[in-house]
Amino acid sequence: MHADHGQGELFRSYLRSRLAVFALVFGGSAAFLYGAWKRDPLIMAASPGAVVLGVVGIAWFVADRMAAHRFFSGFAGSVGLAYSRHAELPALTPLLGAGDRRRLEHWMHGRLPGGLTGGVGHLVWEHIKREADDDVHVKERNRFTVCVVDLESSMLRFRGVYLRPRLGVFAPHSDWLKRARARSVEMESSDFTQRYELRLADDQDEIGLRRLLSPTLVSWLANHPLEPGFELKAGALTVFVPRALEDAGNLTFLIDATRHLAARVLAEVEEGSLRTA
Amino acid sequence: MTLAAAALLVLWVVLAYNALVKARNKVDEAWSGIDVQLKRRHDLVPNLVETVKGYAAHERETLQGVTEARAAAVEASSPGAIERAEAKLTTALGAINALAEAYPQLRAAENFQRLQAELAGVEDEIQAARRIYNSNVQHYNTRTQQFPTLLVAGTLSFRPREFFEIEAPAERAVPQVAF
Repeated sequence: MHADHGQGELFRSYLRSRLAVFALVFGGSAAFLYGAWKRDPLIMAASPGAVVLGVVGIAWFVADRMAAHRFFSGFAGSVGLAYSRHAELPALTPLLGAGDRRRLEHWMHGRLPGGLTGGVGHLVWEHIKREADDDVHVKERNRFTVCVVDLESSMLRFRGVYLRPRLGVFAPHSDWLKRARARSVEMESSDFTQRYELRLADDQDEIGLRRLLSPTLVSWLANHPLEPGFELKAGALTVFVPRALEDAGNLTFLIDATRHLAARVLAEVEEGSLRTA
Repeated sequence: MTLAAAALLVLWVVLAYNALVKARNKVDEAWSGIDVQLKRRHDLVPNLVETVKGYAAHERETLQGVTEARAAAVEASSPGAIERAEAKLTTALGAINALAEAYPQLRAAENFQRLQAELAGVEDEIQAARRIYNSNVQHYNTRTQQFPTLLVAGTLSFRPREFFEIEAPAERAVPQVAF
């Protein structure tokens, strides 16, 4: 299943709907008459075409949104999650506070497979510029897929671990960690280092990190087909891929990756408390 | 013009040298990752032997085999020697598993189960550390053998590194199927 599933069918049904037919007939006629009133043959010829294009465009847009809504709400139901078209989360980790404004779309939340409380969906974050007349101009818009889980017990041990795919020279999005107080760390694997950029909050101890990123986890991350990044801070684990996932297979894969990472974090927290005891 | 070409050449040599040093350091770092996991494994073995002794004290030969294999593994220093010693230790630990089959009380002992689980975890970590090490060795060896970096590697004694395989000889053997 994919978010585009059924989109064509919806599009055709919208075009056949009474509203679309009325819009085409009355809108086209009105545009033609307006051209005649203006005595402009160009408007008479082109404006009905523009009306048709407008109606078709709107039908396509609505069908696209509706197909996505159906897909995500269906997927949420199939894994026992509640669905909200829009949501907001506090900026627990740097990514959740990225950009000047942000929102969650297709947010599926509740008890995730594996028993963790959290949610999965699209995070849209934007850089905006306010004009002198208070108009907002979007300079950059990014859509990531995130899976956020509550790991409150990790709060004291992990103050800030940020792992993300390397941005490269021609990064498609800006650096949301630029303002975070963090230092870079390299792991022992070339494959991992080539793939990921690892940063630690200034007050995060490196030994804890090295224990968390055991060889098994490093190797797992270096070979994971989704190339997921994660951020662990303030008792929240945000696992993400820097693109929109819109199919059931990859969404399930992301949830599984989150479960795997969360299990590793919790195991390390438990081992840590045993060591302390 | 000649000066600019010479400067470029020197710059390239410096960059190639730094890249080789970085790759070699990654190999060393990955090796220390294996070393840590092997040490964890060696530390678990005496506890395992003591636990088994409590249930199967008269299986002296097997336990002695494990102790000797562990001692040899601890003593080994070069990757090749470690590889061979660890393979022997893996085989010896396999014999303990076989013992557990014959002693249900041992198999059911909580301490034994915990140690076995811990050992299995360490084995996973060793396998992962080995994969990381071998991938780094491949990366480093490729750099030392590629033209034109090999000119710098050859001149400045960047020797190729050995891969590390750790598995019991039994695992390497081809299964014989009789029809």
